[in-house]
Amino acid sequence: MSDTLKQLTEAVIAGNATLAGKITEQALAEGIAPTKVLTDGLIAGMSVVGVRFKAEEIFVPEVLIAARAMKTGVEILRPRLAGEAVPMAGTIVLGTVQGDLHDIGKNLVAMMMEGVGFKVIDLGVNVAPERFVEAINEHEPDLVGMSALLTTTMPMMKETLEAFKAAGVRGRVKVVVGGAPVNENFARQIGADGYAPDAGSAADLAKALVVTG
Amino acid sequence: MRAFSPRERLLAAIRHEETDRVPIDLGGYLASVHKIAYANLIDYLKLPLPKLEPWDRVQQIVDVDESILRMFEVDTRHIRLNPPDGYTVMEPTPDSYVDEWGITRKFTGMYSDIVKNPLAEATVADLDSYPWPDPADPGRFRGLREKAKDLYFNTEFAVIGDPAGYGLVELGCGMRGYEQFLIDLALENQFFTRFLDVALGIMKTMWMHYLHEVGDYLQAVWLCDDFGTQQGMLFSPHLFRKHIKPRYKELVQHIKSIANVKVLHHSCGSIVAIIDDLIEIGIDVLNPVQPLAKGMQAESIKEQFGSRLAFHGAIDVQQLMPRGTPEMVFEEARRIITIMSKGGGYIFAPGHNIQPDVPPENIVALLRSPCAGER
Repeated sequence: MSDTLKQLTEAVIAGNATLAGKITEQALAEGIAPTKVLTDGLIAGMSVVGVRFKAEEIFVPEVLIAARAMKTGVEILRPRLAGEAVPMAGTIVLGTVQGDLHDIGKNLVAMMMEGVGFKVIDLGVNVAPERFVEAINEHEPDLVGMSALLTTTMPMMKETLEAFKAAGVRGRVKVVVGGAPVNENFARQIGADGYAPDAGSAADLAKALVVTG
Repeated sequence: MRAFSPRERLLAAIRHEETDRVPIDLGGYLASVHKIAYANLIDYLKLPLPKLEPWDRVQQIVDVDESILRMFEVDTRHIRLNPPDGYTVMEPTPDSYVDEWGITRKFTGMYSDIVKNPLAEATVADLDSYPWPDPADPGRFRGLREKAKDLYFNTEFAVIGDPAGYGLVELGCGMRGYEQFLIDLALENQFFTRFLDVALGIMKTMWMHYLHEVGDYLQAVWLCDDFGTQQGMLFSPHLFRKHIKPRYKELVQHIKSIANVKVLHHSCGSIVAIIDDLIEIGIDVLNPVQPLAKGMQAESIKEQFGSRLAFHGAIDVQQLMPRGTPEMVFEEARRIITIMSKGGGYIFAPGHNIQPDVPPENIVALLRSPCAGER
């Protein structure tokens, strides 16, 4: 790998947005293909962040600044990527379920998913079941991820899954769930395809589910 | 063993002495009951009591009736600050309000959650011109002395003071936005340190006026700030020690210099990494010891820290209370009491406020458990 891309990876890991922006521009000036800058520079950095987060070497704040650094680079690349075939790991629709306004966990999952190369459609918080259904129809994602922080909003995950069945879209997506009170057992009970205890594991799970189809 | 008065029982437990039974806490800011769970409870118990509106809009918790506190032999009563005279809550829409710090919250049907942060775009210079609440506003403290004095002299209950203001990190996340405040923390920028200093100054003033009124009558006070997530620390122990711990040390010293009170600290989540730090800065009791958070199981926490720290809560509210059977709740509560009360050092309480999805049978099973095993 070129020194420039290596430096870009390091800038993302360090969460240095200014530097990540500068090196992204430098990499483009050196004639490195935008898709390569994205995957081998920015995404490569973010995937290291995911591994370190999972290993508890770094914590939420460091992930947030790394994601911000990656985003700075992506914004610079965006006009150059238009029209190029960017190899993505898949598409995931994410949201916090209806009645729940908590989003930091869901946002971390979004960052980690982007960090392993997923295209993320983030529906935000307080997402009604029909909005998830609409997003499935519109974006045709591989996966849907639902988040809930509260024991009192967890049942909405089940209701959302039922809405998928009623709308006839359940078979078209894998559904993963997460959030503080959620566990593997609950995920199985409500008929989700997977559960992850943290954002790093969620990205691994998503990759595995896309591969197995 | 001799019978303890409720107040003696609480203080002895915090001093790590075994008591006739564990002291029981219910009510207050951190071990209360959501209005829906409360309505279900009084229906279940067939009590001729009114369904209450919450006194706290955020958590939607109510003041549990005295007759229920007595029914379950609760040892504590609580004192809390009033709203200030100088701020009228604004309601931009019927389901939202702006609190005195400028934080906008929206009612979701069960709680009021943050939807707008007043310092989202602020610079460090803006902190000096921001219309901060007046910590000395006399409305906050009006009538508190009489209430605390009455509880102290005319009852035998332990009197606990609810928190003054917000936790420092909690306030930062609320005013700045959760992610931006954690970004500020990661960058250790000027905004972050200045914000903490301003917030600490306000809290210290509020505590000073509060404790001048009621400090003589309180046995313990609450601090409340979340440092953990389900899986680990919210931020690194290193940054906690560098920025958060010294300020809490100052606050705890400040509180203890004004009043002879024990300090209880509430932090959700997995905080094993910094429990020694909390002990070091003078925290006497830790709540909730969240059992499903990583590394926070009662056995292990009691073994590692039990000789130097007392505990409050430790009963699971994430699965057991909402989804367990009454028998499971009772058995688990007895198990936790056995582990945690060995050698003293335990105050029995639900691990958090009792939420709307907890069946009343489970609340009763929980609250019956401490007295069922009286020695």
